[in-house]
Amino acid sequence: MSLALQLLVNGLVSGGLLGVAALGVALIFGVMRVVNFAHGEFITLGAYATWLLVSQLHLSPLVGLPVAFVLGALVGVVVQAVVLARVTGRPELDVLMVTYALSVLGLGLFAQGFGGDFRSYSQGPHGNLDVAGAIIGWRSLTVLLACVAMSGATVLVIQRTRLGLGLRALAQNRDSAATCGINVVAAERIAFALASGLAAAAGCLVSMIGTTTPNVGHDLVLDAFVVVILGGMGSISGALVGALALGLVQSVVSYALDDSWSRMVAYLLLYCIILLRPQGLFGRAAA
Amino acid sequence: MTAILEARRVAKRFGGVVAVRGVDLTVRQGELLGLFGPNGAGKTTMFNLIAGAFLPDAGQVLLHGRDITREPAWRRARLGIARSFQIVRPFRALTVLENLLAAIPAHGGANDAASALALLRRVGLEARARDAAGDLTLGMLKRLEVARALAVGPRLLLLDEPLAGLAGQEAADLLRTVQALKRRMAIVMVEHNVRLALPVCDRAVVMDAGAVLAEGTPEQIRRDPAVIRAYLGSEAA
Repeated sequence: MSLALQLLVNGLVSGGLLGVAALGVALIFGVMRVVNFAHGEFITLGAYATWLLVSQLHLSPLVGLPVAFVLGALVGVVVQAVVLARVTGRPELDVLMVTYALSVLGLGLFAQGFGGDFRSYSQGPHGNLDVAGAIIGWRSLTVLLACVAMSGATVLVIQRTRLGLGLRALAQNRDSAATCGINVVAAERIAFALASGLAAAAGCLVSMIGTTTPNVGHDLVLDAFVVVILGGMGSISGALVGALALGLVQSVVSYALDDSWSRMVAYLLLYCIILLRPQGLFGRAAA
Repeated sequence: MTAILEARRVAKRFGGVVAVRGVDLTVRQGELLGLFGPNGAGKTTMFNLIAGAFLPDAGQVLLHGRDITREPAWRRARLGIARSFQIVRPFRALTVLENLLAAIPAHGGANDAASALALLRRVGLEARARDAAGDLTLGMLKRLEVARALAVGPRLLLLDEPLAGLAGQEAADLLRTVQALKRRMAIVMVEHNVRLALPVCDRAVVMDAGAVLAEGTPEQIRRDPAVIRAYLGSEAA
């Protein structure tokens, strides 16, 4: 019982982080039809920003959460306006390669700025909670709660606000959205900023429970892509359900076999989904 | 009558193909203007130039005397130009009501919903308000597009082949709805079904090969030898 609970909590924490990362990927793809390889670098940005806040300014890592979100959103606005807006409407492969180039550039900048060292800190929530024999760290619990709060807030914005309605309409049809008076350029910028902010906030949480390196975001975003395809490209709810499912599967596989198997299982799952249900669990089949 | 829209010497080329060549077009308040012509005449391109989907290579587009030639489509919509599409483009995953809410200029939650429901009532879709737009029939989607265009609060409504794919009664119903609308706005309607659409127009423009071939009342158009030769043919007889 305690083992099952332990695996469940581990799966929910890693699934929650994946979910926040995947939300951004799904949002950008849904609204802009852009597969953003550079999404991982926003996660890394948030992780390093939090590490700097904690190690240099001696602040709580929880302060890093809003700081990382705002920083990520601001950098996102600049990247969207300066780079991506200029390639909107180009062939998908061109845009894909531009985001890949951005990712490589980001990786290089982080490596130049911080070196390849593993960065971590001990400040922030500490200690453990014993629930029915399962040991749950307060840090993990904090990360899980933050993931739930961020995912919930994002879903609320998308489903219940006028901004969200505009983004959903834009995701359905760009021309129709424009004829409805929706400022499609501004809406795309807002979507990218929101997604980048979420990624950086996820990076803050990653730094709380792991170590920060230049490729910490890159690794997480690869799993996020699996999750987004699993849930259905562009589907927000699909991304969240896919993330939790993958988190739980990886938690069990990591325990039963070892960590290296968990990623292999993720990609096997991806292959099966592409073969059996190409539109993903929550996607609509092409007409 | 006051001119709502003026297109002056508007031209558009796609590579080596001239789609619209120096067209002048005036649309007046309260009129239903029919835009007719054979396939490739430049009607839909002209529509897209007015709505802002394309920017012209030459010429000017004026709305109430204001130059909107370089304005993007979303800003033209906010200035009062609404349109439907030749092939319907609803927001399929949104509900019927949300399709309209996305287009209504924001005033306040409850007011917006009430306005949207009133529009749905007008086109006979109120009972389907909570259904996904993707579940509607083609005829219903056409009516939804008209309602969505009206939700923008247009001064000029552009309807691109609204009768395409509709059966007799559905087409007649839609034309009745369109006629009832023109009291409060100007309407431009591109339509291939000349037999049904021409009689309800106040004025008609016939295009051919990217240029205006004829312009006048439905009766003048029906008797115009150039129009009969290039477009109407035996249909006019």
